[in-house]
Amino acid sequence: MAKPARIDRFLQLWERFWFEEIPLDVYALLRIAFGAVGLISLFGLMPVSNFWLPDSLIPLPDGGLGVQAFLFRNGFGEVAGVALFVFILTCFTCMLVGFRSQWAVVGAFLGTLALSFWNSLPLAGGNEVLSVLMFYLIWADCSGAPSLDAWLAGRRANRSRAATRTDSIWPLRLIRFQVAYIYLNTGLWKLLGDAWRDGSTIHYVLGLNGFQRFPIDIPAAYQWALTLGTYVTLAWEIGFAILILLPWTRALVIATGIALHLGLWFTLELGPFSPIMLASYIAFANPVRVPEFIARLHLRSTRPDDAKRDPQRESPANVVDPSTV
Amino acid sequence: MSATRWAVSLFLLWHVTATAVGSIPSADRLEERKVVGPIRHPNDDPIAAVMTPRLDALAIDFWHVASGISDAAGSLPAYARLYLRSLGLGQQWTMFGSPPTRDEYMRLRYFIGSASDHRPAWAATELIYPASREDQIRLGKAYWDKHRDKAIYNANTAFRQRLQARMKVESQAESTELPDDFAPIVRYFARQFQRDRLGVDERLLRTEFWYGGVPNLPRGTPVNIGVRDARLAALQKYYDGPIEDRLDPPPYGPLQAVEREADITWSLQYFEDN
Repeated sequence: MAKPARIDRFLQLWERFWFEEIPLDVYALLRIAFGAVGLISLFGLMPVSNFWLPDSLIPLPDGGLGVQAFLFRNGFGEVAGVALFVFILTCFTCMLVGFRSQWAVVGAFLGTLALSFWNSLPLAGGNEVLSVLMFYLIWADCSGAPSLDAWLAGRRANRSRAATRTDSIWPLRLIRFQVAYIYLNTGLWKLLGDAWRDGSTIHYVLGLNGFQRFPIDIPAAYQWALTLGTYVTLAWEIGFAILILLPWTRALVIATGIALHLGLWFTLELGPFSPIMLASYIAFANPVRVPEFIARLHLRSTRPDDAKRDPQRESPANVVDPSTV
Repeated sequence: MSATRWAVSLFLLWHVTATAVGSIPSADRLEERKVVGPIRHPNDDPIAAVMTPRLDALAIDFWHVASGISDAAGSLPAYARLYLRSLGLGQQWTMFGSPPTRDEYMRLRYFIGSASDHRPAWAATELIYPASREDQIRLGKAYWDKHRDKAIYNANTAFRQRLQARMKVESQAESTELPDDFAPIVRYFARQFQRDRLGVDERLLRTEFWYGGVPNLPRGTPVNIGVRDARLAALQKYYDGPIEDRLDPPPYGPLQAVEREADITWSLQYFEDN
């Protein structure tokens, strides 16, 4: 018996939404960006003697599976701490340069996960964001150019094949969903905060001694700007999930996000939070246009002719229509 | 659709649903952030005067809706969060949801005696939070300092949460009766102090953790320059390293003992005897 037309239509839409093929470039850019911010984040946890060894700023080993307690008790704490640090450093570096890309992403995810068990004390919301987003990147083919993997593949005369490689869009959709979800969730919690509703949050945050970058008092004449900024931030976070879906507000919502995170970065010392969130915005780029963007930047050392080509024409037939992504 | 795509589709459906369901807060968490009236009408800022009453009313309605959803969902969100945590995706996206409204300081006081005597011969007090000076622009090194600050801040938050959950701490309590969340912080700095400052015939007898707080001024309140300068002067003494008191060391403080420096009120939260 034939399936009802409506179910067929739904399945077609479902398949198109989650399984359209897109060029690998956007995944490559995400890999590079997450590798870079992962390294920035890791450098903040140096020297190793500060956060990785048994005598460092590390919680007393209790609870969990007892692995850490076992290692500490038997004198392997230092070796394990240094090994974990070197492992994560290696994985993020491999992500950055695109060497053994798939394994590097898996390793970086597992490494950051292990770090959250090993020492959660110096970790902040940004580290959680990075870990979650890397979980989704695991499922994508991140070996596209620019990467050492692609360069090596080019040397092995696979250039024509590498130029047309694609992957499903669903990991990218999940990253977008996750970023929108983070903003919506945090926005709604903020709505329950007194200082957000009375517009005084930015006034208080800019004055906090543990966060402020500049030891200055905001003149009373400009307090209105801080109040307005508080409300804009609240509205933007709650509205992000909807506004990002609409083509005519997408650019504005991303531009506002970039301005907001750059503003946070400039005025507050929040560790790696802002770079991590900014890196995640790459996921909102149109994946069909990314190859063109990379070609313009002359980043494709293995495919020098691509800059002259029209990426739309180059894309395989089953690549998604740019207007739908 | 191919079999692989069906399998991936099931995972996507499950995962997205679990993420959405897992974000439904528990009744306890909602209770912590309960929005209660009356609706406020601030008059210190023209924008806030317009927005606050509307947002207060909206938040009260939203809290009731969220509460209803939380009740209706029962234990489903807890199971969803269990699944997410098992993948390492335990998510609590509440950054700056309720920002602190006070400046915070943390310091350690070391009591030192000779190897053969358990009475303190001298004491030293070290500011450990914030790591960066607050009278200078924070660039470069502040990024590394931020991670140390975060570790101390998180340890203090965990310490306070567990302390509140326990029975009221008596002022004569032994250090072992207190939560041990701050112990790694105390021991880390104590080891550094021992290594850098103590002679071969000296030993560390006790380390005390003092927490200091100063409420920040509400919006529109003019800064009192005299008060601010007095605090900076008090902090200035700490910026060159631990302040040694060799002539007249302070006595051991009981828990919750209070000291004042400029407008900072210090309170003794935790101690460890060596």
